Amino acid sequence: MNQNKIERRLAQANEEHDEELLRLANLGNQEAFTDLYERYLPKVYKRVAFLIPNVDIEDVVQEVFIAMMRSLKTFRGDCKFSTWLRVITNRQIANYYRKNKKSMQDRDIESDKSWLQRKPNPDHSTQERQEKKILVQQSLSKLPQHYREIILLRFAEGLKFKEIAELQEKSLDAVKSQFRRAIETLRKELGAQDAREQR
Amino acid sequence: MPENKDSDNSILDNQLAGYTDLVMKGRAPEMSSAPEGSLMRDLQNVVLDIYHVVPEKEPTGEMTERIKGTLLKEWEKEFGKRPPEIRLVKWLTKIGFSRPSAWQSTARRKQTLAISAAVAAIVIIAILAPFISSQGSLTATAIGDKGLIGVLLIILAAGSATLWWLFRRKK
Repeated sequence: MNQNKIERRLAQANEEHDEELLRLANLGNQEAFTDLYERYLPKVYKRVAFLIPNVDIEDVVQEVFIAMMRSLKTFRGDCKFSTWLRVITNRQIANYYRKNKKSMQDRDIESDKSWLQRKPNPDHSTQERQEKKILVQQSLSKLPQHYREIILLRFAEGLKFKEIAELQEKSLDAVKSQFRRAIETLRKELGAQDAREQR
Repeated sequence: MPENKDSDNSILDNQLAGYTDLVMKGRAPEMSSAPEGSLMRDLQNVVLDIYHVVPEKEPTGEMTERIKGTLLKEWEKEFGKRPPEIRLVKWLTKIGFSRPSAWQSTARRKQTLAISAAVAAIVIIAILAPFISSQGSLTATAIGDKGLIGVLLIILAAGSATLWWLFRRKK
């Protein structure tokens, strides 16, 4: 059996396992719900940590799983469970940015900078990296959803381009092209952000 | 001209995707063969910027437990008040029977169908068996009353065996 077939079968078995856990959780089985939580925590965490400042990651991750619990009954199976959970995660991230809209630009940089200054002799490269991270996060949050999504799938979830193509039911060329356009848009946004920071 | 642009973009798409793959594998991410100041070099730099944002850490055990604790409290609030389920529904769900819905996998749909068929066969036979034996002259064929009852018993046994097998499989 070739590698692709094995991977496909494993993915199918995983999906079926998710389905079963979801069905049991819907019947009120707490253990099934915690299984789902443990299975998906690393993925949700990575996605959240990619876009949210460190200090708020845990809160947002928690909100994602509470939202998932409350929406269990509404999952109709039109898509895979993992896709549905991504939508919930994105919604919670968007909520976070909406709630913090006014303060994001000022607070993010300022609070993280002041945090760095509180540390004795902060490592210059750490500080630079932290600032860059904030800049990239802010720019990413301003990208159109489809561009942000492809970047998250490749970097935060570590999916290969081929896997993204399968997930989004697109050709490999289309995915690569969308990725390049996303990077180009981010480049412009980073430039604009940088200019704002200089002012 | 547009064709040229398309092919240029296609080359760029593949180069950038290839570079990103290398970066994600952690192989010499700082190296770039693209000339300084070129679009490709700029895009590669953006890829590196994003790569440095990728969280290195996994959620800690403490964080996992803290969130789980909160979730379990929420779970109690959400599901603790639920009315107890009817036993038959619970049992049918346990052996794999559930209302068909779009999110069921093909395997589960087949299982539900098999259980439905077995239950239906047993019910029909249970209803028809006394009627057939009393009206034997109307329905009996060359195999005769005893033969017919025998066939019905075999079907009944097969249906029961199917149910038993499915039940065992679920366990």
